[in-house]
Amino acid sequence: MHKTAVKNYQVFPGNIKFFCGGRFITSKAYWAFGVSIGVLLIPAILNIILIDYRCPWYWTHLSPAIPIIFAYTFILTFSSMMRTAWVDPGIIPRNLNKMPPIASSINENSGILPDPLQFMTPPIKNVMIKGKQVELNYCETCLIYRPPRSSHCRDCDNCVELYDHHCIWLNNCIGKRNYRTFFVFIVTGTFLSVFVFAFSLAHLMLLYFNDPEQREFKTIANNAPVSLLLTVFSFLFIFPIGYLTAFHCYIVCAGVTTHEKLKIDGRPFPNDKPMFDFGSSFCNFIHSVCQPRSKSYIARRKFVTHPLPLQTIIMTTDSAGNRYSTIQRNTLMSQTPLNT
Amino acid sequence: MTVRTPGNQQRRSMTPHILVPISQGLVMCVRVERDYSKGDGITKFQTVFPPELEGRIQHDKLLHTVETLNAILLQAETLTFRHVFDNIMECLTIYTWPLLFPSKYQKALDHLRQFVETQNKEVYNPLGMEITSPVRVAFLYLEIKIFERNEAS
Repeated sequence: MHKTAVKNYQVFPGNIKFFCGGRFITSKAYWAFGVSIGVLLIPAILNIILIDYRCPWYWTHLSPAIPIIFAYTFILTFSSMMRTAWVDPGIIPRNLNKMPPIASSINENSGILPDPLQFMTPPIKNVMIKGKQVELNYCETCLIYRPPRSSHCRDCDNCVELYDHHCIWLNNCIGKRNYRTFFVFIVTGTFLSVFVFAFSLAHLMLLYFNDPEQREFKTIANNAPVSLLLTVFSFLFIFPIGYLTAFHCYIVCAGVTTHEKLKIDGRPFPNDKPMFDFGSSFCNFIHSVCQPRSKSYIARRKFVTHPLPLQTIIMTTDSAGNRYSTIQRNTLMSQTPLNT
Repeated sequence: MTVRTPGNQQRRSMTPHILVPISQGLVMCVRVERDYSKGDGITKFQTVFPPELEGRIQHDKLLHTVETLNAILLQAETLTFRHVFDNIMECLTIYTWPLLFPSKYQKALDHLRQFVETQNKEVYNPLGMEITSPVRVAFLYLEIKIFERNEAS
């Protein structure tokens, strides 16, 4: 292997963008991420900074804990959002199972070159999972046999391990490496919405009850317009994010990903139990949310290494005991199943 | 899910073919595939001795390598109270906990890397082989490269 002067992220195929020297990734719909940032930051700014009487008001009239809890929850939500949106979700590297060109059986000495655009059909590869035979899908973009529970994201154009869904508002896929931070983000986001709604409403109610002379909606709306705005906005926002949180709590306890749940719902006669169920809701929850964070497989900041131009045979066995040989000639690879 | 193939070719199942004999001076890669049989999400490699390595390495040495890798990964990925505690603290401390206390998984990956380097140095390189670290291929397989000298030259 010899190293080049180019880093992997600079030549990475796929519909994603790298920044800060390959440390962070994002997809292409920047506008949606801008909207999400706005929805999170603007109420927070309104709640703390612009309305200069509000936080002292909470501190003196209600309790000092309220602004502190708000600040902590807001920082946790914001950092979870960044860690979900800018992190590699578990992208699987490409070209691990290249197929040979169709004309690979042509004699090398005949002088006829194989057509590099016509590749052989990938042979079926099966694995045994809990006693059942499952066929692994071959991804023709990434040229790999996808492991179970992985899927190819059409927006990012990458295969992602333990693929959940592509979140347009975070402009990234949700996969194995960032599902926990995504879950924390939606839970704390819901809590933040409910919190802002409750205390904005409390502010309005206390203004209403404290001043008997000014018990008119119009007067209160003039005195505390931002509280009114925040009450309405956070109340409306509770519904979508609350639904999302409830949905993810449900699928986490059921032991399925969003992608698998949509596939199950799409079938006319869905199967009874998901394959990767651990038996109890609690166990499923722990396994989904508390998995260790695996290392990024795409080695973004490492230098690109090219294999030396040698002729290589690659031998592999699937779980049924079938042997495959793969022949690599320079940059081409051919695959021929063997007698077992 | 069916795979659309170019030219609508029919998917072929495993039909036997004869291996074309390869002359000396070539490099062979043998892959030990993943074992998904337990279905619990823990990374594990098959403990089957590939026939292509017959005569090149003793069975117990290769199986020792694979079984040790499996043991390291089992210990790293099995969820224990420590994992759950680390994850909860990571969330509560706004992701500053791993800076102070490196996770068990990260330590296990470092251990795995050192083990592969040691095995290469002590066992595989003297026999003209090399194990590639499975991290770069997303733990899809364990690849053993066989280097042969070209005796004709």
